[in-house]
Amino acid sequence: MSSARLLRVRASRRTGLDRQSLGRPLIMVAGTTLILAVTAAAQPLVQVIVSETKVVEGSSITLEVRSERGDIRSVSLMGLEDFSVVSGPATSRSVQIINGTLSSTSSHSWILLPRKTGTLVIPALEVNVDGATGHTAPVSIEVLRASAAGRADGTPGPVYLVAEVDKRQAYRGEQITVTWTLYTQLNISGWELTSLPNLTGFWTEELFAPSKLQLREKLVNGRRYYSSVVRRQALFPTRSGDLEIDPLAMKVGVQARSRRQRDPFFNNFSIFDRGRVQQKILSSSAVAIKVLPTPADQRPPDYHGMVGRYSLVGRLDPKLVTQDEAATLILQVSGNGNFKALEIPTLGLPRGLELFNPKVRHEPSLGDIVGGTTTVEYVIIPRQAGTFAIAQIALPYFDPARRRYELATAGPFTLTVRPRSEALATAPGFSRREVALLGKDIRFVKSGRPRWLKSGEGWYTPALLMLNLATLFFFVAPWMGARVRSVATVYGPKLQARRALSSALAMLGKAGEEPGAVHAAISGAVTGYLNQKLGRTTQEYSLSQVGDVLDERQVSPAVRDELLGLLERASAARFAPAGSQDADSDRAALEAILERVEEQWRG
Amino acid sequence: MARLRPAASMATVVALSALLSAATPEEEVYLRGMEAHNNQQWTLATQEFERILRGGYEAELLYYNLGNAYYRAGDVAGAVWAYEKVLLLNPNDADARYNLALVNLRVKDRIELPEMPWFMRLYRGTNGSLTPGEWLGLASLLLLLASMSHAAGRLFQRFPLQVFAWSGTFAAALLFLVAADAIISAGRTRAGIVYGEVVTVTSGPSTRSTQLFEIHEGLKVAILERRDDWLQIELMDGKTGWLPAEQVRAL
Repeated sequence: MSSARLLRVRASRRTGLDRQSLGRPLIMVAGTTLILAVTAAAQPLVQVIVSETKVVEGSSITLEVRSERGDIRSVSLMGLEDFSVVSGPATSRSVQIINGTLSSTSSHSWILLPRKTGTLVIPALEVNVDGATGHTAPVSIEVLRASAAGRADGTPGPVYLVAEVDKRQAYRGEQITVTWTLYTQLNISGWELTSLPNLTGFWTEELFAPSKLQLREKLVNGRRYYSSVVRRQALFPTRSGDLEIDPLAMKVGVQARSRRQRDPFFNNFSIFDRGRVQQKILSSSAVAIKVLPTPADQRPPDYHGMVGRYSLVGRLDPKLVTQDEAATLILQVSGNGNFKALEIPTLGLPRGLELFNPKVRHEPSLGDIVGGTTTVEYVIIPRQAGTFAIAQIALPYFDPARRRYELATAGPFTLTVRPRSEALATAPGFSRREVALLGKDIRFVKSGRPRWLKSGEGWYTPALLMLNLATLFFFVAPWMGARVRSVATVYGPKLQARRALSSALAMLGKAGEEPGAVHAAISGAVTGYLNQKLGRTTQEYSLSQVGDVLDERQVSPAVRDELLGLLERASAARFAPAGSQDADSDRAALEAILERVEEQWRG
Repeated sequence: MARLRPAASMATVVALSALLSAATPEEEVYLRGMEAHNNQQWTLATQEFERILRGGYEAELLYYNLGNAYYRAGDVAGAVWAYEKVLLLNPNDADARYNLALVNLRVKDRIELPEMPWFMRLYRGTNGSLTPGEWLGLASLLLLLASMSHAAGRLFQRFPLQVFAWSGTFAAALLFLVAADAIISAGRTRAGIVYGEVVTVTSGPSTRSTQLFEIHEGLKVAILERRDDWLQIELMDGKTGWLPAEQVRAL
């Protein structure tokens, strides 16, 4: 990397950091040290860059791994246990041409939070660059305690996050309440939790997770702060030994104070003192917890890890039942502690009593101490008459306040059963119908031939399709019928006329070449034509009748006379046969005349 | 019941032998399953019946007898699943409904729901009495009758026919709405049966997510979403969470 490029990288790192600084950019720029570690002297495969090597606890650093020799495929963060990853990796790739030479840069970057104070080491990270493996150089980061690096009065700064626990030593299973509180002297314009603590070794219960800050005034070492709880959890250690509550990280937007002279009459929260908003990453410190095992001596044999303080109340309802009627033993475990470890006590029932799966209900109590009441309802069906003793139920637990094991007990109980009655009672946990089923057997297997279906067939079967098509037909058919009728009304007469003409011409065609037959056919064709047109069945029309019909139908006199002349000639030819040439010309003339009659025909 | 069983077994054997004459491959497997069932080889019977399902065939009777075999084998989840499948094919199968109620007594999780208003109960009861396909068929049949009345009404110009046609069309439209509701509900609320003996439900699709509550085998749950090997489920009381997909058998 050339020195010019390195400086540019440094400058950009500083700029990014300054946005999160405490409002002292010049001091921070001067104080910021950048580390550039090169794995190979001549052509470095990968480089690691950190924004700061000396930070105050709770401050984040930026770690960037970059390569100018190819694309970074992956970076292994193995061995980075001393830091929490707040965000990342953010990847980028840029191509530049400097002095005519093409170069590309690929980088992955993370925002890290130190998890403890002291000198921490970012180990050599394994990086895959286009299939080649390289390692970064290890980098040391010095993390100062907030009190050591903070102000003279001991406060860490104008904005900080603190994790507070109600106890640092607890028994396994005992509640530890951890509260993360934000302290600020600046205006907060927005916030979000960016990294939740990894609470390995604890069973957790959320107590308080506000959606917005509830700021209250508080004095810290004589300085006035505004504080708000951002999260509160109850932790129950699930193993003994040294455990650690990881840091919680949050991002806050703070309004930086303007550098102009402060108005002595308005405080830090004055609405007249609004600067630009800066994003800051805050982190609480890790909190070490020492977890003691519950004492092994005098531990009851049926102890299942319940820690806290509990009471047990039992009630048999009713105490007197009829055979096959249900009785319910209601057991209530109340108190504070790790209810999660509660194992439902098993009932020692004598023969003749049938026990069904209990119904369990838990009602949590309100407040920061986890607890509540767990109600267990055992349904018991006596199958014999008599008096039955149900043994005492005991729940051993460890009381951390008294540092000894205690025993909560309920019972014993006595159930009296009368001989069978037909009536069936209801019981809590089962409906009346269900109680009637208790003790019954299922209905027997069915014989017969299964009606096989292909799995996953839809509901829209072919039969349904046929049904819908038939429906469509019946909806459409009347409309189609009406349509056909209207078409027939319009085109019917025309069709009839065409049919009359066609049949007349067909008759002429059938007459053959014999002149006598042709002339006989001419008369027949005209008769047939008129019959078809008029819907009659007249055997023969006289010339005057033909003339009258044509006049009625408004056929022009010229055409009428032409047809009458032709008919007259044909009539005469039947008695004085003409030559075949005349017959052909008469046939052609009749065709032409009928065409014209057809054109002029009205009505 | 003791007196009924030999008689029922005899009837089954007679019916089976009648079937042997023209048995398809799935029927042959079914007969072997029935034979195993009659010999009280419950696990073998369930294996044979399940083989038919894997082959892509199903039947109301198959599911019913599979449920019985699972019940006898002590598999609560399997029995619940099979009886629920019967009711999907035929919601009016009283025997399957009875057996399901009986096997549900063995399911550890008991969820109490607030009672619905009477009209909702009435509607749900009516809607659930037929499968979505049957509702669709009923609506289509009524619409066919209405269309025939329309046609006849136009042809013969008879007022009563036209009245029947229009009222039939209206009733068919209502039935189509019911069918649509049934189809949409069935498509939206895909259900499944919990198979794991005790299953921890978490807040997200990961073993590292917060543990919310535990459910037990045989519980019917609605499947909301699948993400990789995890299912988001909802209980009847509205509780939701994630569990590994292999812990639930979809209906």
